[in-house]
Amino acid sequence: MIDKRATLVILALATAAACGGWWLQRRLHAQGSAGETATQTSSAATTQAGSEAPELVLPDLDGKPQRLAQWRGKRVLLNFWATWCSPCRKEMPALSAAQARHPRVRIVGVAIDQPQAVREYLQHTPVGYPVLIGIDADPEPTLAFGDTVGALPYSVLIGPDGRILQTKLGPLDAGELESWLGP
Amino acid sequence: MASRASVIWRPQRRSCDNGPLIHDLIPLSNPLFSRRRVFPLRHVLRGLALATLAAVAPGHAQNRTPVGNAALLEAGDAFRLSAQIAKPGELRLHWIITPHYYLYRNRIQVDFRNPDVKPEAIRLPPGQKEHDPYFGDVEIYHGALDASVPYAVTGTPPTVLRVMVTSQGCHEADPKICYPPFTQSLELPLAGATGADAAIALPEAPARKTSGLDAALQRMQHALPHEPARSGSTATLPGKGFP
Repeated sequence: MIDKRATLVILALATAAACGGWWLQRRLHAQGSAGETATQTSSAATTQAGSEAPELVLPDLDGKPQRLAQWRGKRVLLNFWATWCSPCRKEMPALSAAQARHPRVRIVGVAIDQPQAVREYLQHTPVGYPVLIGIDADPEPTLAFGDTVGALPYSVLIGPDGRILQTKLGPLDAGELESWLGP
Repeated sequence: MASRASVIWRPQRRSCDNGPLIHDLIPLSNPLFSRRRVFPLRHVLRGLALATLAAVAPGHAQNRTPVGNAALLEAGDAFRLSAQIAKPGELRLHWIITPHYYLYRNRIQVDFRNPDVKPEAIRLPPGQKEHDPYFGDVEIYHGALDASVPYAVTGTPPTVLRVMVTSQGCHEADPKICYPPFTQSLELPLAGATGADAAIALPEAPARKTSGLDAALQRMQHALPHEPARSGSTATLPGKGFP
């Protein structure tokens, strides 16, 4: 009888410890993840949000150099993309529609791709905003604007004063797009 | 040893919400379940330690799983490549593809940098067939991938096989992102190379251009989708390139 009771007590203790350990681990893990995100945001805040956007001069589809600074005074959404990037292609019609809805905002596409491929693609699928060619630029424009992973799509929101407001790796959903471009 | 591993890892498939795990965690031969009248403290402590360890262990596994933006990987980490000379005249490549990432079959290319080494076409297994709304029918790889490239030495045998492997892939969970063609440089010693002795862990190529050479490589990478390399020492897959 004592055996049975003691066994039950130990089983209960062990189960409680297991669940406690599991809960503690989950909590620490969640804090760790939040901490990582916070660190990344904080790091991004140090190097990105609020900081001056780097100077950017890239050729347009006709090869004519275009300066980012020409849109100073407007909110600018830089969207880095490529024809080989399926999620980029999926995102672009929404960006084009957003440009039509927000004429006071300037969306600028930066293609990390070969000019010929970009021209051919845009002939079939035009967008209502200018597209620049960023593939041969040095330093790499994606990296200069904070895309440390090096993947696409990558978007950067720049305020009228030329300071970076937001960055995002991955497509912008409808809500994000409206909040970025909204009044 | 095996039983310890089983004790630690079995709970990965469960959580405490599913009920007590104690019978999974502690084998029935454990002294805790013996018919002894007195329970020494060390047995109690061992039980508690095992249970706590088992509860914590799955979390370490979870740390390896990408979660959200914070864990998006660079290409070299998402698609980990190793290589070996399995036997004279055959290069073997092995990728470990991180969960939620995939590689395109038709974007894998192997270039040999040795002038006296002539490769045949790369041999790849069939991929998983997918229909991409923009690229049409494609084949992709998840998990792991083994490929081989037979080659012939036509002149003086080199002591080191210099190979450049280009691949391209994407992250398929949200946020969906795709990587530019990514080239990794490999150097495999050939002298006396036999079987596993030749296997090496491979350094990752710079993901970003930092020098003139890197810049040239980067340009070559970006040129791949539309201008496949045509040199005589290139093993390419027919029909590559997206529409």
